[in-house]
Amino acid sequence: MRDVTIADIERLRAEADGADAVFEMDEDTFRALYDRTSRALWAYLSRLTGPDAADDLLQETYYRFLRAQGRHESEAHRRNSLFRIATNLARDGWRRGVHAQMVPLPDGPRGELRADVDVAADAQRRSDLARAMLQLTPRERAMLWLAYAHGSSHRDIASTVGVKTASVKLLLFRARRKLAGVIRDGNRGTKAGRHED
Amino acid sequence: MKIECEREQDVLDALAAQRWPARCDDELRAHVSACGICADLVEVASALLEDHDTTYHDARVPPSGVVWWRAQLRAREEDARAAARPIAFIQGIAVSVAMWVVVTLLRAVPASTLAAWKEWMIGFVPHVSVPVPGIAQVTAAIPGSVLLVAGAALLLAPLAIYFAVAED
Repeated sequence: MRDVTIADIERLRAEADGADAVFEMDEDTFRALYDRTSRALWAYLSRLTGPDAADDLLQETYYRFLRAQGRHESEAHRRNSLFRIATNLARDGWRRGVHAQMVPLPDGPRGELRADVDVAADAQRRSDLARAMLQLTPRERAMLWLAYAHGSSHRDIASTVGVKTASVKLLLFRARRKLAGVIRDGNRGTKAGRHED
Repeated sequence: MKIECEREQDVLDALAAQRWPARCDDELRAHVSACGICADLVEVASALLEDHDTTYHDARVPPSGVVWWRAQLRAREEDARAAARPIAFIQGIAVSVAMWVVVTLLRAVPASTLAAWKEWMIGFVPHVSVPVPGIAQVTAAIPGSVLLVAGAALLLAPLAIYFAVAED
């Protein structure tokens, strides 16, 4: 997705001015929700599909959310809807053969260097994790991310990925064991490589 | 097979509060080193939490206003297309019916009348002599099966137009 300039915003605003509202949600409510959720949602999509696809899927997720005109009882319900839409979009991508990509090493503005982090080690860890995650099924990736990175409840995970709540515990256990095994194997391989050097 | 441990939440709390491993009690550390479930949990959850923090920090999402306006424009375009679908469908039906009416009328007109019409039209261009065949002869020469196929095509044309517009 290309960067948006102020001229683009003004053009879009001019084109949309004077038209009737097409969504049930008003702009201020949407913007507040977006500001609270977009980064977490992008991170989730990025881990499921790769950063490039995540850019497009983010816009698509919010569009479908707005179009759904659903009644949401709470902020948690809205978040849950967003993540469910995102998961379905990512799943459509998997069915079309769009697979997750490796997380790129920091370069350019997306991976701005942070002084308090060992950038090389950080990039190595993320790259190892990305490789390990690719050993999992898309549903396992989604469940693990929601459970441990996003902190979702089993009930929310169930509704987001479309499984029974009672199954979540077992599915998470299996996915966790699988990922832990791949990470440990990777760590052993890295250490063995260092010894050979 | 045991799939959960009662200390999982303690481990998750310690990881979320960044107390693991240095600032949590020895008893929990000892438990994790002895419990396969909690050891896997530490391995996976710590990696994912760290990755989440970095990805969240690095995320470059477009401004909310841009996402809002793009969504508005797209919704309006889709609404306009959706509204045009039935219009295209009706237009297709109207064209089909009109063509059927023309063909049926031409077939119903007696040959002598058609010949008279032909003479009358040729009278407007007296210096040009073109051998125009009788329309009744032309339509009568078309086999019934061809007319049936043409009729079916005319009936299906509106549906084809409808779906073509719907897929845009």
